[in-house]
Amino acid sequence: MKLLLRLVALALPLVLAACGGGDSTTTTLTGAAANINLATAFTQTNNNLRLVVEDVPALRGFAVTNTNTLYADIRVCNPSDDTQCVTIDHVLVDTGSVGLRVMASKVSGLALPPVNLSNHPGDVSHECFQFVIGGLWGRNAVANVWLGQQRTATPVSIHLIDDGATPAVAVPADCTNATNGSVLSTAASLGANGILGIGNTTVDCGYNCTVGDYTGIGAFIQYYHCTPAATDTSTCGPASVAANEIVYNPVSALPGPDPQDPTVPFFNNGVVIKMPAVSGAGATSARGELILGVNTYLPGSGNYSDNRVPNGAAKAELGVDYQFNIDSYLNVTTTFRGTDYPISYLDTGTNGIFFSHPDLAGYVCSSWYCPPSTLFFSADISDGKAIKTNLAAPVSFQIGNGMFYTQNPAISDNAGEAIGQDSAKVFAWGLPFFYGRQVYLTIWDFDPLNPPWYAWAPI
Amino acid sequence: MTFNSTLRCGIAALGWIAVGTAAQAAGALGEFHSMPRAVVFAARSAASMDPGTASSAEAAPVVLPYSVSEEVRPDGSRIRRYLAPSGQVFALSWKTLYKPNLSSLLGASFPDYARAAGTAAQRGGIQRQFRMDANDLVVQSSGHLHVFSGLAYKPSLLPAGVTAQTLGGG
Repeated sequence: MKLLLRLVALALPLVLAACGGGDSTTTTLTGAAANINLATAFTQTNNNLRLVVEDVPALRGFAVTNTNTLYADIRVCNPSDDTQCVTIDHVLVDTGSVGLRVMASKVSGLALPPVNLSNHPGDVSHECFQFVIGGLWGRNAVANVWLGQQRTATPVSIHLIDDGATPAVAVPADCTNATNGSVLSTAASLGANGILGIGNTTVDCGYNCTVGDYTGIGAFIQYYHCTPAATDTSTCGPASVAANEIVYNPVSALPGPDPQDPTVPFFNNGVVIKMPAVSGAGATSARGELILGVNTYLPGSGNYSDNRVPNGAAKAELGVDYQFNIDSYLNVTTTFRGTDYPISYLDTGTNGIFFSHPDLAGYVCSSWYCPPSTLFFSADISDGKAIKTNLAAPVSFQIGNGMFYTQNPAISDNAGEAIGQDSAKVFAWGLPFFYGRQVYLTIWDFDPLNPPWYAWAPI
Repeated sequence: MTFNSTLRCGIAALGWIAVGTAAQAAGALGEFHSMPRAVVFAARSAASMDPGTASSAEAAPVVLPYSVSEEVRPDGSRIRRYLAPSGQVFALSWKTLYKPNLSSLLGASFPDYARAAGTAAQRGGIQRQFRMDANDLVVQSSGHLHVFSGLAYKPSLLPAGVTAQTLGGG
């Protein structure tokens, strides 16, 4: 008998059948006897905002709950008028991507202007943003973005996810192919009202987009230039996007340091994520905090949250050498039971821990691990660069059955196999890594002498 | 663009071939990949690449059951085609700073991939890894930020002794 415990829209979504054991049983889920709501202490300052993991029925899509989906409220304003704003709730906070992408319907009243493309005079920008599976289509727009009390220094390009009954501009075939036939065009299918991409780089695309060349080896087109009145992309073309037109990391777009006055606080170089510890059985909700800036706090300078990395915190630099150390590019290295995983990263947009190891092969249930009882592990994380300068740091984690026995959206023990390319090299530390920790993530401006890094310590 | 044919030591039984991209037809999976004969040379076995055995470097080259052709983009992104002696592409892998156009890389296999990927996409949400194994097509794909990597091969075309692990897959 099929034991349907939960459908989760995850990086590894699946319908769970009976796992292990030969008995057929029916289990009725009664849900948690009592709600477990966890929260870190939080005081609103000038550089922080609340984060929350919680179930949002309207955003479940096919899932039973929004497992380990990290949300925040983000405020978007018309770039010319700071009184014309909306606050969008339940935007997914994602350290695995870059840029703000929101359902177009959420900002329809703001009259956000299009992104005019200087390399294609008269034309405006549309974007097909792709995940490994699925993607987002819609026009780009210019807006000011507020993260808590901090606002982008100048308006930035964001991505409006076209969630209309029919797209304003018909989805081009190249984008349909790029997104595997699935352009996520509703909040329910995305699992959020938008994505706040605050990953380790300033922009969401590189050479292809700046040059506008998506051919050669063959890439899917990411940016298009279209006439403002276009309703389909038959007259559009692949776009070459200038530096101030490309979708930008909203944190990077906050005001930078004042060259005249080092005592003026700034918060554009990274973020701190603090989440409460969550047990294997999980929690109904988990509230944490996003602090803007890393190591920029100046005591006595005003009402700001301290974003300094504490003494004794572990640290690991991301690799930045794409030519000679390609696996480690924008990654760190995890070592587990003597095996190195050079494609490792911390990602709030991934809802479990994903890696493969022979010792766990016996616990696999449809790509998830389902040990009969909770297993406790330690792995080391070290620099992604070839010549390491930081000591490898041990990280404790657990693999258990929380997801099979509870519908709690916040769980800390769900893990599964890495299934993509280089699956033997991948160690994706999803949201469970962040529970019970303060995690510091810096943003790279592509200066090879100043690589981005992670740091972390118990909360 | 041509690139250095460096024989990488330490990679078991893997040889590299220089290619002149201007004169080649870039084959999709299952198709035939042509390159100028003049710049093709047989791959050497790992043993002859050992710097400590200079004399063995003089030995006659060992012809391996496959060869590799690599294209490199100006941004460093690269695609490798794994070729049977006939020139047929039995596998390809990519490490790119963008999501590659799989409809051009997978050729006749693309509809199978599209079907499986489309099914996976129905579940919604952000998905950063994918695997399929059906209809003589294995695809493994992953990526985060703007860094993607993937492997695709046809099990029926794998030369004897070549496994997914040989190709860098899992």
